[in-house]
Amino acid sequence: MKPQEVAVKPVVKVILETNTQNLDEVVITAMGISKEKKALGYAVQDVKADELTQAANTNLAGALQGKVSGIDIAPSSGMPGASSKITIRGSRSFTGDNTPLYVIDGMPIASSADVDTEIMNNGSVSGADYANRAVDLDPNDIESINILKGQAASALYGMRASNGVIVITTKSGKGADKGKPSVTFSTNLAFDKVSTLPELQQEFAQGSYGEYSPYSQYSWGPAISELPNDPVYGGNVANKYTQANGLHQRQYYVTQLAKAGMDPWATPGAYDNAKDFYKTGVTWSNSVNVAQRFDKGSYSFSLGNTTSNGIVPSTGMNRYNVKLAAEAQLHANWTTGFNGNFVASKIKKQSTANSGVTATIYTAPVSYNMAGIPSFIDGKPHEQNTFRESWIDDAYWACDNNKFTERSQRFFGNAFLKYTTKFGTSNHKLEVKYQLGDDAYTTNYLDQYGYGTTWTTGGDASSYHYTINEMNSLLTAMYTWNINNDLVFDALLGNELVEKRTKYVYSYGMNFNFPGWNHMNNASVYSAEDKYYRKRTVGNFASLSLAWKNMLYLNVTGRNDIVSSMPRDNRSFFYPSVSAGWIFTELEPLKNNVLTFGKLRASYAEVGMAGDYIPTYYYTPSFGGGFYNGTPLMYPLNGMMAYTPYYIVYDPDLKPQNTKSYEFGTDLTFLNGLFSLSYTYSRQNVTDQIFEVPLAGSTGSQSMMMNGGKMHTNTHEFTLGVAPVDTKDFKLDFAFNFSKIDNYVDELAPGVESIMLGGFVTPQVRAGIGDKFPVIYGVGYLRNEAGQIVVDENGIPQAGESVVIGKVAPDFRLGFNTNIELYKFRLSAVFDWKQGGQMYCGTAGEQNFYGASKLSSDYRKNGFMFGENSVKVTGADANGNPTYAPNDIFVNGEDAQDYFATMRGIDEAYVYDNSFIKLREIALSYPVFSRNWLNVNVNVFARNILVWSEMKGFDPEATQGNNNMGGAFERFSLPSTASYGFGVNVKF
Amino acid sequence: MKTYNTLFKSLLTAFVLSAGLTGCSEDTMDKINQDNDHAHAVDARFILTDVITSTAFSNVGGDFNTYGSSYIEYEVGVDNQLYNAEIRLNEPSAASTFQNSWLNQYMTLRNARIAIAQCEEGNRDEGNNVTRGIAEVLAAYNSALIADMFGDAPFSQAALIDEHGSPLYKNPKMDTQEDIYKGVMQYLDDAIAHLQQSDVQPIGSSDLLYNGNSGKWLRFAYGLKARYTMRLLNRSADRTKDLEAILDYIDKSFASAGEQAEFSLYDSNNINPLFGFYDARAALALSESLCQKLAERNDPRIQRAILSPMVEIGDDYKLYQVTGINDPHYVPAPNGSPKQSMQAYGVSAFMYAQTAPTVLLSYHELQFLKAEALCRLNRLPEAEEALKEGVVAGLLNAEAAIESAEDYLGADLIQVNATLDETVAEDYFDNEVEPLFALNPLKETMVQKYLAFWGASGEATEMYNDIRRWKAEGNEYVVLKNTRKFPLRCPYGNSDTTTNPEVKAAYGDGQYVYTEPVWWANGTR
Repeated sequence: MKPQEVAVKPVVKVILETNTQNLDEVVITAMGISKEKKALGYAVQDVKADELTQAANTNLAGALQGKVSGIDIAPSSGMPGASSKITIRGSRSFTGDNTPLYVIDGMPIASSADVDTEIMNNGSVSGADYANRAVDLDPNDIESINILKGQAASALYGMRASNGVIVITTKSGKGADKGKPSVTFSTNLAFDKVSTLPELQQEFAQGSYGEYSPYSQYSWGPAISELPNDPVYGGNVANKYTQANGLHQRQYYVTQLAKAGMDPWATPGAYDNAKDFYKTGVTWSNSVNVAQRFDKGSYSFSLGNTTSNGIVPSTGMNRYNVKLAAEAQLHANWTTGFNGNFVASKIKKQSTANSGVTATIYTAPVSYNMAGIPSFIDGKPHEQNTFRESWIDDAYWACDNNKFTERSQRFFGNAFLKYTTKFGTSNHKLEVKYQLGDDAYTTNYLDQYGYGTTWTTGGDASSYHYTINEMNSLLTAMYTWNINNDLVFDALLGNELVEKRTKYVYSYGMNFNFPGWNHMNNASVYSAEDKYYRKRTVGNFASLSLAWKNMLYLNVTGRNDIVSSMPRDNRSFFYPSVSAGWIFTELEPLKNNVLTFGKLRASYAEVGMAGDYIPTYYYTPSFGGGFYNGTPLMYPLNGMMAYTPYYIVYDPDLKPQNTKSYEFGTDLTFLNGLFSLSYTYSRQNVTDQIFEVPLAGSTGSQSMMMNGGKMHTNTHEFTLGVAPVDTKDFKLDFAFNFSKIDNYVDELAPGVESIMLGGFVTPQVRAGIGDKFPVIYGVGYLRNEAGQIVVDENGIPQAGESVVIGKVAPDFRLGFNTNIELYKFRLSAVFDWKQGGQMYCGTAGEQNFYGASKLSSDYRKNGFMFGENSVKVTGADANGNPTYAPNDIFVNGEDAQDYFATMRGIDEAYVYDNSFIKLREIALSYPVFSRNWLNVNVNVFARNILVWSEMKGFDPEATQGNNNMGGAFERFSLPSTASYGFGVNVKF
Repeated sequence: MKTYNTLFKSLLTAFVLSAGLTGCSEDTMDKINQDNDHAHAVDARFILTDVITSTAFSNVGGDFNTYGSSYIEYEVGVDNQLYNAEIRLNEPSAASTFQNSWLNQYMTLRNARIAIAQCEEGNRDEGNNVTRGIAEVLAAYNSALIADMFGDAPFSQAALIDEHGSPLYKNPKMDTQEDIYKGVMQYLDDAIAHLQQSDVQPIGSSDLLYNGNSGKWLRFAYGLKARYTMRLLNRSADRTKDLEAILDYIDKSFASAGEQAEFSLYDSNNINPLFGFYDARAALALSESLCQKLAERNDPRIQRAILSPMVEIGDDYKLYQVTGINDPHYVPAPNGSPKQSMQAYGVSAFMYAQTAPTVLLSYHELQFLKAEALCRLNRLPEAEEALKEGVVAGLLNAEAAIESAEDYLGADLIQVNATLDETVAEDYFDNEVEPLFALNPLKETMVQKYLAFWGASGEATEMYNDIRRWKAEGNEYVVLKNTRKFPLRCPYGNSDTTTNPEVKAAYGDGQYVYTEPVWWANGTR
């Protein structure tokens, strides 16, 4: 209990509030078991509602950033509904799902994306992102989040929980005031801006090698100021245009303006096409909650709505959440309750990378005014009119003509019946609970390139949907026996049955018959696919714990899972865990006033992960990829279908992959809570990963779904909380969350040195033996034996072999949270520091290549010398080996274009260190009106402000892929955003 | 005690309840995991549909043909990968370059082998002997492509599956080209036997090449015997006998161009692979050395097949069909040293031949083989007759592709010259070819074959074989102008060079592609 300052009144009524920082705090662990935090033998960390919503983030993953240790959250961009990759204590699978299980109000729900960008977008290098299903959660309706990080914590959930668990408790009426309903309303308005933009050159016009050309992709042309003197297009000189239109002093003829039906004569200038393109995004979110408690029951009803318009035109998200939860005491022994959530959402997206909307705005010649010149030919809206022909679609044209949407409707919830008895005793308690839940949703996807796109011939449409119904039946019996004053025994037995049914329908139409109607129904060639499959998991589990004198805690669990998705006779698996906690400060001799609480904990667990086994089957092969655009050939041909064995075969001896983990840790509290410190070391050894092992092509098959590989993770988590001031008018506390996660690939399958996670042949993101997971692989610089870059006779680096050119994983992450309460003002801030790690930033490199970047013009004007510890060849020694001297060759400005063209062939030149510090959140709130019957709080906030970044001009959190490659590979990716806003919170 | 009884009863009740919920026997789980969304076995004819299509589109008409076009100077690589191939940088020796072809090649062979196995006694397609013969022809065809392009390669243990559909051998051993060719000939001999039998369930229109016409397949099989016997001529123990055999095979093969093995289902949606490549990449340009050869002969193709670079007219870009090498719109790319540019040079009309068929074995090829055999046997009047037949058929084949390109380009092609017909072709032969034939019959036969294979039919793949075979004889019948090192083969695919020890060892650093001729070109590996 925390001390309360009480005003002296005639009648004093003191209600002691629970202090949430206290270690007597009760947390919800696996299977909804409430336990005192101090009794746990493993690390958990919780985040409360006010911390989650302090900066009004409508995205749950974003709202967790910087607030928890041991967890890595990599958002893909700042677009509404953008996917993010959450991993706890590293990865366990090379290509499979590494994201944690979400358990909401006692029931696991789907949180990952059904569509993988790797599969749908050919290595995640084209098309749009696909949202995770965690997008359906409204942070406003969350009461608390508890993160079960290690396998010991999550072992009771069995196979599905090997990646850790995010246990979410939503708002209920249990905590509401008795009697009158309590109504909370909050509304927030946020404005999003692109978080950072690269600096562009301002001097050189479209063209190449100093010569202007109206369809050149480069900015290596003449000085912009010289355009009016261009012999062909200049308005100052005699040429075919001035002959036709008369001289136009200080102007030049812009072919694209003429094609757009506008005055073709323009005064030359420099444009920031990216800056012009991005709008200010607006997010408006509202939520209402009504909660009430009765003598024998309670309810909570929430409505939420979020409407976002992204900074990229044509993008946005609408989400509606409704939830009703209620509980009733039927009888002294019987309780029942239910909760149901309905979510409807629509996400409008745009494409990325090789079909990306940002490709043209970042690389456009700076003299070309994309915002000012219509992106289509006058009278022909489908025909593109831009600075470069037959490349990636013009950004403005794409936003008008290409369409990427996700529409989803979802219900999830459960109902339970609980029987509680004490057998008429005071020291026995049994609680038997049966809960039946369902998570059912349909998501409809549309990926459509309009007539006139450069991506496919004549445009195409892919329309597909997943309809998923996952039933969850859970029976638990929990028994507590207070054997005597010193000894407490708990037992849990349970059975869980999960049945998931998936229906997938895909239709594809290509080559629209005529422009103006970009629609599936206008296609001239069609194909379709239909699938329905089921998966059942039956788990039986037990947990036994013993507590002695509030000092020693021991817990043993076991779970047996039987899964349908594995081969016959290879379906049943058992996973044990054991954990122990020792509060040594309970020992009489160790009791003191400095270290007021001290605990040591240790645990060991094994958890597996099943694969999806399908007997080898036949399919209709498709053509495409390689050098082709779209689908060059499609069955049926001449009315005939073809069937051949699928290129992936499944190993009939498939077994589940296994994670063995142990962790040690300590929780220490000093000076009654002035400092609290928690440290955990954990080690995971993962073996027998299930992944698509590439086969020798000469086998006639491409890959086999089989076991192979080993990886391990060492994690250090460190949390320090300090609460130095706690008075009525001034409170200050702050906390650090430090994580160092080292995740290494030890082995892959025999003969397999690497597995591609996404990207191109080079560069690509891959898992490689001996490397941290994952790495960037591609063409490196030519280096000598000492590892120095060897330049050629012109002082320009050369392409070497394909090697690992970048490590993605950071050295560490550090989150800093603070809360300051001064009188009634409350200021909270979260900083997030990522140190170390690299990424491939294709856009930055391409801006240099095309001559749009500031760097390109600096080099062009001034010349330069290639640095980075480079050497030149001076001759050869007696053995014929080359000899080197430090590079002192100055590269002249006129060779800058060639220099960057060479660098384009060296992927390593596009790899950047990407340490950063972000101000994740800063929020200030003030209760403008506070009475018993009405509370009104106003707040202002800002989010995701890039305070410092090693990489300039690009946000390190904008990358390709909604899978394990996330955070590693940027190429015309959609940008991150910084948000600023304000809100009102009313409670009565 | 009562307390414990109640407890016991409660727990018992819970578990009785749970047992009811727990459907988890192996049979139940099998039923749940049953894959109803796919076929797990199909008739051989459905497999062969794709074997035919893949052979044409991916194998003959795919990357072998595209890169081969640069190697043998039908076209000049002017951008990215093809530019690198043109200047012999990285691509010709990199294991990633032909990885897709490598995979496709073995997948196609695997599928053909599955079809053959299914037609064997006791299996699903027992009694479908024509189907089996077709599968054997295609197995032969693809096996030969593997040997021709990659040299020694996995064959006897490759592309085989076990009862689960998994590879029988995870790392198939290497076989010599000689052994692969023994296998090829065996497949063809078996096919010839089977194609003279019948089907219980006729393959019918699943056969996208001949609609189930076993007679045509038989002629195709004999034609291939002719092609491959000629291929191995440098290794022949008895050249005269083999040349006579070639003539005999050709007699049993196609009687006219109408019978040739061509995949002719392309339209505006299903496109010719070379067209598809150019449409997406535009990385090939007009070959200077080829144009010079045409010009030396006043070849009529020069006025039909050569297009200008894009020319800005008004606010639009158009193409000219050039009239000859003196036409100002004639802008060829220099072989081996072009600028890296997709706009700088003219192109051949074949790049736009959206619907031109891919030819697996053409009638004109057989006539050229016949002419070659007859020249070598010194039966010159007969050789000249066959050559003329080949030249005329070849010209008409090119003309058909050019007309496809004209259809595609429509109004974007602003100057169109007179079409080629049989009379033009015959005149060309009589006036230009015949005198050169008289001077050097074998050489002119080879040159004419080289010119006839230029097109959109995927015949660069076969010409790359011929060029290497002729080089091995020490005769530069067709003089190439690219002075950079000539790739003597394609490198193995990286799926094997990384996982299969024997292939990895054979690949080394990949430079062997410049130094080691394939076996039938007098090499050792």
